[in-house]
Amino acid sequence: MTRIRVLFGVAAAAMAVGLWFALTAPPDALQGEYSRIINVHVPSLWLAFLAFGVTALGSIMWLWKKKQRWDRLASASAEVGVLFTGIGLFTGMVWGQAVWGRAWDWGDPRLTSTAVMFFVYLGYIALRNAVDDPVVKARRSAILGVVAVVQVPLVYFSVNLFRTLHQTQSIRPDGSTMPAEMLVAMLVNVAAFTILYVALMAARTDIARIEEANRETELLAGDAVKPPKLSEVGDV
Amino acid sequence: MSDTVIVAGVFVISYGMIIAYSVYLHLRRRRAATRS
Amino acid sequence: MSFWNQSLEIARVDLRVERRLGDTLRIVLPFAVVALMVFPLSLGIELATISRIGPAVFWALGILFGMQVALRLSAADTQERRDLHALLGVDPAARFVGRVLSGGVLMLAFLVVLFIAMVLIYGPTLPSGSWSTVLLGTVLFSIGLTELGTLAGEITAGLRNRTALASLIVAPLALPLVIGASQSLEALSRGAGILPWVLLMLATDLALAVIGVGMARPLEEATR
Repeated sequence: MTRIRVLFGVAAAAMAVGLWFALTAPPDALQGEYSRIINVHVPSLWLAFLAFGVTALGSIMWLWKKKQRWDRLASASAEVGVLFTGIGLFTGMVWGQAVWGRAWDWGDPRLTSTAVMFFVYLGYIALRNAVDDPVVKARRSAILGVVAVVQVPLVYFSVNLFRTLHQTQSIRPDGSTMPAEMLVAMLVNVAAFTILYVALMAARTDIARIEEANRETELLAGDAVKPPKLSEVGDV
Repeated sequence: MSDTVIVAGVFVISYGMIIAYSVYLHLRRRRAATRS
Repeated sequence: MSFWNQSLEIARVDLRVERRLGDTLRIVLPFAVVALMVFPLSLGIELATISRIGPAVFWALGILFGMQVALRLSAADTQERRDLHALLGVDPAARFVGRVLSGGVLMLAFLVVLFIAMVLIYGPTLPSGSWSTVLLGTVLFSIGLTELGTLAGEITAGLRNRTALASLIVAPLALPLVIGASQSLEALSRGAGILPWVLLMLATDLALAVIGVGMARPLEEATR
């Protein structure tokens, strides 16, 4: 428990530092204040893809080793992944609308694959919620994880092919020509968000572990292990 | 709405969601721990 | 019984069941045609645009309604049937392949009829050589979508809200098929080659086939 508290403490500090960098970096000449959004958008997307990869890894490892910890890893990462994919898409759309006049860009394969990933996450979580038995839950989620990790790159590739053959230039260039201060701010935030991811993952997997243990005892002994409410006990 | 307000709003919402999720995790952990 | 014989037999049984109980084509197909009509009516657009968007609408509806075809097939599998298959020593991978074969046939029939309906309702101008491209695209599209649908159907077997959940899972992952199929036709009308799109669909179908066969045993265990 203390380990998690420490992680969150460090994460909070890192995020605060990142936020400070984001808010004090000089604004871009063309984009104005909107350039600051990149400090939330890029780290969120980085995490979204990292979380997705971890879910895929957890799924494959579970199918191979059948150890419950891999399922916990996969499902925790999916939940955290949904959060950051959502933030990434939201910030991207606001930024796109403000800077390029269009919230969505069909020429960008990264956008479409991120959106697909978002819905895959949602499906994954919905699937888990619909199953009671933990082993069945783990097995089915793992299979979905494997299917997804093969299909999402295919989605990316197909939109990329679409763009190349249509010669549609993405309206959002890769932005590698950033001034040094902005780049530093962004990298600091990438690091901060990564620490945050680790903290959230540690907390979420721990919760999963406790809830699984609870479920086992409840199934065995039922009401006998639930402490009675003090108000309901007649004479103590 | 000025640019600054919109950008500030984006930051508030994004960080707000992260904080909200963290609080949710904390509450969920507390509930799980009391039942164990 | 060899692997292929098992698969073919399963496909045969599936199709026979479908012919007797047969709600899939009799319900999903008319529904899809109604959906075809909804678009121009709701958008209230002029004829030129309608004929332009025809093929695109066809592929989009192909995904959404085609999914229901694949999902229905998996629904026919009861626990008793699974246990029987296991007792008889049916290879779970053969069950997957057989399911894809029967589903693919149904999906293909569904899509062909839907395409004809679209041509009649939307009146698109199709470039020469379209029919073979559409046929090839439809075959590859059917195989891929059936594979996805079969996998999703197995993953969600016995769960509440099964159809909606499985559809949610399939729809985003089926994008490469939509893009490949629609773009191959688009390329034809621009005079460009269709090879990249055909290869894309082929790659998707192969990848899904490998997963389906590779995951067949875990899937079998998952649905107990």
